[in-house]
Amino acid sequence: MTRRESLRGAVSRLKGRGADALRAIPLRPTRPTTARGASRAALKVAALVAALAVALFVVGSAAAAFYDQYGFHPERNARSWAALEPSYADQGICQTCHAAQHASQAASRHHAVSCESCHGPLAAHAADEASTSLPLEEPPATICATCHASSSGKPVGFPQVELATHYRSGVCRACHDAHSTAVVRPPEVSHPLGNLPACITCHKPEGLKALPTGHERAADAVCLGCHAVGADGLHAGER
Amino acid sequence: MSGTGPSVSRRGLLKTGLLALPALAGSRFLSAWISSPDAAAANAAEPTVIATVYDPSLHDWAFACDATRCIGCGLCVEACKLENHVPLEPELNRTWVERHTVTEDGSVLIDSPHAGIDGFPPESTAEGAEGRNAREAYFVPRLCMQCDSPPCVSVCPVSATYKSEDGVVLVDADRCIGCGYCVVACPYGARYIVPSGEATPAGESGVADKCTFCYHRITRGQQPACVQVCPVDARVFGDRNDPASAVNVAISDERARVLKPEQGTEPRVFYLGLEGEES
Repeated sequence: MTRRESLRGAVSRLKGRGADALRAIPLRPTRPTTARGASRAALKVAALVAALAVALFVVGSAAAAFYDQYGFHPERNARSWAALEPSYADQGICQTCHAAQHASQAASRHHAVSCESCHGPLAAHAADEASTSLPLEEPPATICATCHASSSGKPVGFPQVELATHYRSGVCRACHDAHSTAVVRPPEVSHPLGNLPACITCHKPEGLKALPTGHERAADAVCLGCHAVGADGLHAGER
Repeated sequence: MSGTGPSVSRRGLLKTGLLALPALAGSRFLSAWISSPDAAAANAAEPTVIATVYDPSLHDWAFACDATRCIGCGLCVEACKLENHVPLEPELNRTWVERHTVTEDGSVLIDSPHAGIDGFPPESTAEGAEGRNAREAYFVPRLCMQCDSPPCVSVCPVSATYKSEDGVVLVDADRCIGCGYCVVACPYGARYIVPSGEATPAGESGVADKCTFCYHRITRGQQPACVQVCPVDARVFGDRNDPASAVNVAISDERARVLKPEQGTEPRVFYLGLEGEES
């Protein structure tokens, strides 16, 4: 047997085996032959489609949730900034309750000053009527000084006071009405320096110095005529 | 797998696995939806309400500071801190006030004690200011310039800071990783990193924070808090799309300047009364 013949024989044997193998595989019928078979096939297809749909939905929503959490959403972030609650109200809301103060303020030199500039944010007042960042009834004099204490840098013409020498510094509202800006000026008193006695060593006419502890009541009638010292140790003007 | 092994075929295992995976994943998302319906509703509801009335594409916000009017009272700094829950540390601010003292030789000395929140002492506290005669002095309100070409947005490695359609530069605290590049990149020093223990309005420490033009106020038609409390109208805010707006009048003034124009940042904040500082 030549080499070629033996090869040919092997090929033909292989071919035959292949054909036998093909014949041995039970081919699935492409079409069901019975009605029961048809419905089972339809059910299988339906189940496959449903499973695919569920899988797609889950994978899709997982991807969407992932993008939702880690994606780039400037519009949504901007909306979340916009959704924060303001604390300061619009000018004018305060007057619904405080009409008298508003009326006197609106006609004054302070008309451009917002209520909340001095009294603090309305939201704090609304949350707790008694507690504003500044007491509504008795604001401290420092709030006036915030704007009106003289300092370098303020525009020329803006009303400023030297706190150290301003008449009775620290009790602004005794003379000034913060809402109407009306001023009750203290009486102009001339102090003829030549005739004044020992008091002016400490108490200069242009401003009062704080009383030292253990201050002895001066006996000089010239000063005490106006600046009487009471039982509490304070001059009449300081009470 | 040999024939004597457990009676689980490869096909059966695969089938079970394929069915179980989506079921597991599905249950996870269902539980996530079910567990936080309130939070989801709260997050979704409010922004939608704002969004229906506010269209950022219709606005072109701008800001003007008038150094000839500012009195350095610091009410704006206080209002900003209260309105925006800015940490009370004097060095952490969304807005602050500086006093520029121009000496006789023309140099500008700047002081801003406690960011100006308590007002200013009578004379400049700047280094080297003592004993020198001042030619002039004025107050300069400072805030984020809301640049049209913002360096902070360029350098942010995670796109946490971005420019909104209306021109306001905002920070997405959920994306911010607190690297601080933007803080360094800002030529105006307008940004800070929220220290631990504090919280931004967005709710986290360790992220960058800055002026938003009081975004929650301007989207409701209100003025920013600093503008609202300014007693001398030194701060003006408005829409450049409205030709009659006060801000348009202010910035069309020929004296109007921006800070550091050489940086090419195209600020939306303009200044009046600083023309003497130009070199």
